[in-house]
Amino acid sequence: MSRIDALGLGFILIFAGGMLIFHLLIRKWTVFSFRSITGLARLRQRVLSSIEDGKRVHISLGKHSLLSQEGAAALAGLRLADEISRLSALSDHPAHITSGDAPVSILSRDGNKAVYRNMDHEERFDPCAAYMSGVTAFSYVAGSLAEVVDPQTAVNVLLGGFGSEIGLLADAADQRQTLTTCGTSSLAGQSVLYAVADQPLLGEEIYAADAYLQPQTTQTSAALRMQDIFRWMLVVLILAGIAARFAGVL
Amino acid sequence: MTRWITPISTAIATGVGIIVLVGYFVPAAWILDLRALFLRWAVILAGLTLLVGIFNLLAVHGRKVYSLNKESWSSLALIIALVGTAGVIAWQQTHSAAALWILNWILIPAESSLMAVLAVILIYAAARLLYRRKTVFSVIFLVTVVIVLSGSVPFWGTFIPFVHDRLLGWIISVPAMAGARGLLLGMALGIIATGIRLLTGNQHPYDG
Repeated sequence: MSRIDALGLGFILIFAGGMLIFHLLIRKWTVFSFRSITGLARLRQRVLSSIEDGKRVHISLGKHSLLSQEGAAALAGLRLADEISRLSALSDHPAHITSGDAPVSILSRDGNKAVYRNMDHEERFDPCAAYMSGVTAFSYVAGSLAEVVDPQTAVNVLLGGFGSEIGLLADAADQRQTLTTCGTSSLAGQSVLYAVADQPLLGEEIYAADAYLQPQTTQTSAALRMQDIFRWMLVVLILAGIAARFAGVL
Repeated sequence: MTRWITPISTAIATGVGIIVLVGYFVPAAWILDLRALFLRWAVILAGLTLLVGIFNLLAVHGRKVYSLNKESWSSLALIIALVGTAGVIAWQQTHSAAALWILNWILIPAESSLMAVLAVILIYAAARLLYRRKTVFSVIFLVTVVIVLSGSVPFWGTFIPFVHDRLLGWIISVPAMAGARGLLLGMALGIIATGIRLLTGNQHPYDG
């Protein structure tokens, strides 16, 4: 094993160890508060009020493959989709989930089914509530647009692996004046969202979305705490590197 | 029965995930072989799920057609197009003239027109940005967009001298690169946290 490989493995092991320690600490002693993210602040309230109004939440998980580097964003979207499905499962209009990647669509359907099974209402599970709306980037967008502009949809959550095509969905949601929470793992998609959406999620914020919907989950809180610590460590390391370069040490 | 299947599927996913992860760091031959085998299986499974996804899409739109509302016509068009394309490809192969005609004269123009719509939406959104979000960052964003565009595209055959030669390169290689790296570092931490949660079984999106 080379030195850089050992460093990478060590980084992941320390991260995992830190998550475990924070998980135990949070469970025993305290609940950490999160910093405010405007794009997520009102999501839970709006999801609950849309359910009370007899409206639907639409979640779109992007088109990037689960086997690619952007797969983690789809997993973050799936976590959020499971939570929203749980909140809206017994309403008149359960959440609809669209995606552009077949494995992601199967996982979203699977998660949706698990929600109903855990509630002992498996007979209410709708196999057509989660589906792959298209295979290519724009066919997926065209298929998902029907859900975005559906008059029954009150909240649109666009979270996962999108490219610049997310601009079409975000703009359609904006025209319909639904509450829209959107974020993507691609930099091109984020720059498009910055122009099109009101409160886009940028950078690592998409991986924190489910924690804001269900803040009492200790695993998520522990993961966020470790991300914050490592981010500050990286900032200090980068600044130290710059200082060392200026001083002529590096 | 499904209740006791969940721990088993979690154990399998965790085990496979750990082997694939370790394969990135430990160059032992047997781990690399095992990792390659698991990744091949994953690719084959992903291919099979595409078929399931398409049948699911047919079921969703079949139900919309059956419900006879205003969306029924577009759903019917989708089903006819899907079955028709599949039929043409099954009958005449993927590289046949008919299949290429569908690709070149229907699929590509349709997707290109959506791309054109996106370009218009982006110009409109950029113009509206200061109206909807009056912040310093919006101004910086817009000024940068204008500089990068005017530096990248020639005006009547000539580039703007200083903007094209110096400013554009500096923006791309210094502030834009720094911002992109900052975002990527944050996302990398999020990806690691998501991966660890999967490997430790805290998140298992496969228990339906």
